[in-house]
Amino acid sequence: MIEGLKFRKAKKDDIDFIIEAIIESEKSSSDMISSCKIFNFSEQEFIDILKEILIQDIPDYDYYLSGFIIAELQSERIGTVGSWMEAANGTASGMVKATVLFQYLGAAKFKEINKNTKVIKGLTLNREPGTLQLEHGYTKEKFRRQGVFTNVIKQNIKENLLHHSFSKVQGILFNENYKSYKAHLKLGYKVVEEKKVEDPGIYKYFPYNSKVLMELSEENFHNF
Amino acid sequence: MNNLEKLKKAFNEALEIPLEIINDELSYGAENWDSVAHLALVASIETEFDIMLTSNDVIDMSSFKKAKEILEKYDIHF
Repeated sequence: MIEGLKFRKAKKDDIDFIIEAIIESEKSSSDMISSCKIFNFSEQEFIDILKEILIQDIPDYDYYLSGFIIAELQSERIGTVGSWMEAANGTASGMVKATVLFQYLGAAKFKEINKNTKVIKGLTLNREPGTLQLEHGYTKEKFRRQGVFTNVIKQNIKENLLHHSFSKVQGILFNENYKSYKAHLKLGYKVVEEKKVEDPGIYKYFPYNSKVLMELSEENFHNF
Repeated sequence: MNNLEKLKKAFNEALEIPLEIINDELSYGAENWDSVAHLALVASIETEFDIMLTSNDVIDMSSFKKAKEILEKYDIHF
């Protein structure tokens, strides 16, 4: 691990860095931001929406500001990963996300979605209630391959163990995003479900055509 | 078309699932009903019934049965 690396919970000052992380995570080593393609946003519109949403610090889904842990080196933000407890209050994170987007954008924006959903539904994976979810892991380019990603994930799990009881950690990612996929395997994650869409129309919305639900069991993370 | 048929049509179009499997047991997470499909469903219901749903309605609409209960508030009876 890099000497001098520090970890802390995210604050409102970190929002720009977290947006950078969310966008890089959506791109998954490609140039495509899936949310922009699905909802017909420009990148700037997406950034503006994320700013408005993150500042509200709404729990139980992937844009939960306080769920992010920041890795810092000499006061420079160099890595992060977000987290939330799935269905902590009985509502699936997907429902929370849909409601927040509805609240900020109104239903009119979504009348066009009907035309888009058929092909992307094939990549839907369901998260298990009561599990810790980790998403939007990101390390700045020049600090990669130095253990930042691994350690920010470990710190996030440790932080959540102080407040919640859970026996599994899950994450959904493109398995063709090899760097991220391999980093998860190295931590002890295992693939529990895979979805693949053969229709080439999928590439209009996603950079890859297959996604995996990965899981880390208690025996892997109890000694982090 | 009666209200039940209209609601089933909204689910059928938004979730792209056959009419025959749309019943009270159908809930979020089943049949590819994910966050994107949920937004499509909300838009589809608003169009079909010419209403404007609230954020509370959107988060509460976790099943076909709940959708019927929510629409009752708008004087749409089944």
